Amino acid sequence: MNGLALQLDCPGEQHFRLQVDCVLPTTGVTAIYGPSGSGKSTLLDCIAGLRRPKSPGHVRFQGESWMTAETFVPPWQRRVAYVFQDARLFPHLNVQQNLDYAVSRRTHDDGPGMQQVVCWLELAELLQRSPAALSAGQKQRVAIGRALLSAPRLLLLDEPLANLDHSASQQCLIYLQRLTKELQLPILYVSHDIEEVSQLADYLVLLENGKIADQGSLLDLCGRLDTRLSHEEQAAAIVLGTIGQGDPEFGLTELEVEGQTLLVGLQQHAPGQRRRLRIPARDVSVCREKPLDSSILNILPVTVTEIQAQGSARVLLRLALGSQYLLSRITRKSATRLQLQEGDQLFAQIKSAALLMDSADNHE
Amino acid sequence: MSNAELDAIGLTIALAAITTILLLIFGTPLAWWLSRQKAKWPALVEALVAMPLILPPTVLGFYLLLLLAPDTAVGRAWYQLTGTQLAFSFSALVIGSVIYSLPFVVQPLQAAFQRVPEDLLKAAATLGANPLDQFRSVVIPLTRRSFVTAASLGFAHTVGEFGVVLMIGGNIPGETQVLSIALYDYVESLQFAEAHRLAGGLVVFSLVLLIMLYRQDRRDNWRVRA
Amino acid sequence: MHYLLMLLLVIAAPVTAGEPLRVAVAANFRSTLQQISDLFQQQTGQQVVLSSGSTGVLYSQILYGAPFDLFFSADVAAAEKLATEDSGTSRGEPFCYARGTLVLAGGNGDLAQLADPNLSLAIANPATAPYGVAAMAVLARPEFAAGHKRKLVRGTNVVQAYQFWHSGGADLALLPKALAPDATPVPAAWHAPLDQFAISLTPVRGNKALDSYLNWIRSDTVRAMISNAGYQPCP
Repeated sequence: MNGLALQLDCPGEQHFRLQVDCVLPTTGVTAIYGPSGSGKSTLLDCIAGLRRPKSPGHVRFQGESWMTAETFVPPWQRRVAYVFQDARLFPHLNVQQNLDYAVSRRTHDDGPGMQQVVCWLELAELLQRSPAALSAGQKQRVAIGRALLSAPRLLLLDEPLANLDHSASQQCLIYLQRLTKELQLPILYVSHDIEEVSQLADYLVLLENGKIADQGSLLDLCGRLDTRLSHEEQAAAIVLGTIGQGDPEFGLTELEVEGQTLLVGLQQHAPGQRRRLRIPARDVSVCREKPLDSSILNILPVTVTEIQAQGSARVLLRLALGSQYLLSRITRKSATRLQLQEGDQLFAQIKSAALLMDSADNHE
Repeated sequence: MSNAELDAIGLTIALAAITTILLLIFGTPLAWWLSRQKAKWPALVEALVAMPLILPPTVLGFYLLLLLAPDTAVGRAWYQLTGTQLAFSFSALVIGSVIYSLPFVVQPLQAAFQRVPEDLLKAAATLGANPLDQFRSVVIPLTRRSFVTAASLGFAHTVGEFGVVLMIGGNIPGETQVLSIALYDYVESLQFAEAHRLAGGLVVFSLVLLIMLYRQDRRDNWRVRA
Repeated sequence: MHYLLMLLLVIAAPVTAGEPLRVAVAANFRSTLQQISDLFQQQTGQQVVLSSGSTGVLYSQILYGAPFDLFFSADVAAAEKLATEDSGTSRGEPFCYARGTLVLAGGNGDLAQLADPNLSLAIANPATAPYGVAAMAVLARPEFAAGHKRKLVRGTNVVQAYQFWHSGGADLALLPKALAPDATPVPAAWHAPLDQFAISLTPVRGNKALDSYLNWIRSDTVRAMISNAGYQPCP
């Protein structure tokens, strides 16, 4: 009876129809990923109760029915907080009053307090300002704070970074990561940006044309070839490793993954911390012999588990590294020349690896 | 000023004030309902609300004269409830004025409510606000100015009411002889001094009221711009 | 409104009929005069246009230049005032055309009802209508003092008073007999006589239509019609 059970049939504009029948986790961050028009916002609206799907259908949160064929719990009774893409701060209230709005309507006191939220999101200087005087990034922070202060059981975020410029977006991401770490609050995060998703999500739901194409843990889905993720330009595998020694002289840090050591750019992290690593497929090349004099530092022994053609000129490889996987994208010509086959033992050369910020310790 | 003139002024102000208050109380939910309807049939309701704008007041007065007589269902029900006759009473004028000034209160409110973004109300809903709460905490603060506009229009329109009152008032000093009727009486019986006093007084009062309203309007607009 | 109507009629009138005669008539006499004028029109082809209202209202309109040829007042005062006023056009001599009777309509027909404060009463506005003045004189009588607190409803003219009563809004009404022929007559001694006078407002000499119309009004046929309508002959 745990989790968020959904059975939805919700028509939208222009013949669009959201049809979903699944159970989503209610711990950690679940990202809902898909292209525009795939129904992500509709899905959130149905979960929040802002849209009523056709009957029959159901929405059940940890055993509690929010929607059945006969009943419908309205949004203001569900304790689901929603951060919208456009913040939607009340224009007639200043920031403090917007936050108070949430506090005065909460039905339970088990959420974060005002002090905490203001501190986490650094809202102290903004409190007396009116929403019209805030930048998009600031508005979004206030919106997140307001949502948290309503003491929700579930937090929904609909592409919160979409309206922000790059630096504001990065800033906001830091705040969000801090939150996901501090709070024991299930979060549903909608995005069309896989890098954003990689920073935050534990679980991934792939939505396409109103239907769920795939769902699973982030690490798992990113390393597979049978989802659309691997076929995107920025396809990347995500691996989990432990921080090791730092090498300040060369500005590098060690990361231990499946018994192998990777070197990444220097980070201010304590050794022993678990970290995710995002390795784009285009940055992974393979060779049969371990090169001795390469400029590439990260060369790991891998086994080819799957080969898939991508278009007429390229090929995707799924490479096993211990129990985790890497993706590699090479030209079909090279694949043919190297006579690559499943089961081959190769070396993967990783040109660059992005060390993802923060990873909650309750993963894997 | 004579007693009759003071009576007329008092009656007019009372009529306008009571009518305005009633229209705000009943017109607000109506305007809200109309502003949130997406179906087509509410157009019928909108048309009914707008009728007093188009129909000559005498048409309204004519039908009310017939409708409010003691031997009709309405007249009888009124008598049961209050023990008094509805015809030619101040209450009859209130009923007439409420219908007559209805669109002047409902339409500005409806337009203002329609301008409140649905998105804000959805956000309020997710923060725990039920529809009544949403109305009180989001809609009203954002449409405060139109309440002032609607009330002013309703009040002013009722002060200027003549045709309806002529048909159903019965010209009873102290009860139904409002300003416009008293004025009419004076002109018809060539008592021009009294007519000047009333008419002139009304013009000055209206001017002062409008100046105050527009000044407040400017002040608000400047604040928004800053 | 009357002006607009007259203007339209003037424009629409067939050329052969010539200019219509414009007549202002007190509200109580209108329907009677309508029948009289229709007959005139049938016999002579001359068009007659009537405008009605309370005597006082019509009087002030004429004073301010309303273009009527003839005015049928409900009293003598208005006609005499117009005769003596220096207007620039030569007006005729006022002549009596009928004597009105006041009646009490409504309820059980008993005049004693006027002493009952629970019965509402409609009259024409005494400020502008002679029948209203007569009604006030009747109400001032000592035997009706008890009815002083009644709801007294005033119509802009006798016709509106009639409407107030006829629609059921008012219980009683003091009206001209012409509007309520079957109602109880009020003793004539109770009020000043309702002698109704008419006066021509434009020169009769040279205006054949007006001349023949005035002759028609004075004819026996018309006198009979006026009598049938509930009026007394002039003294």
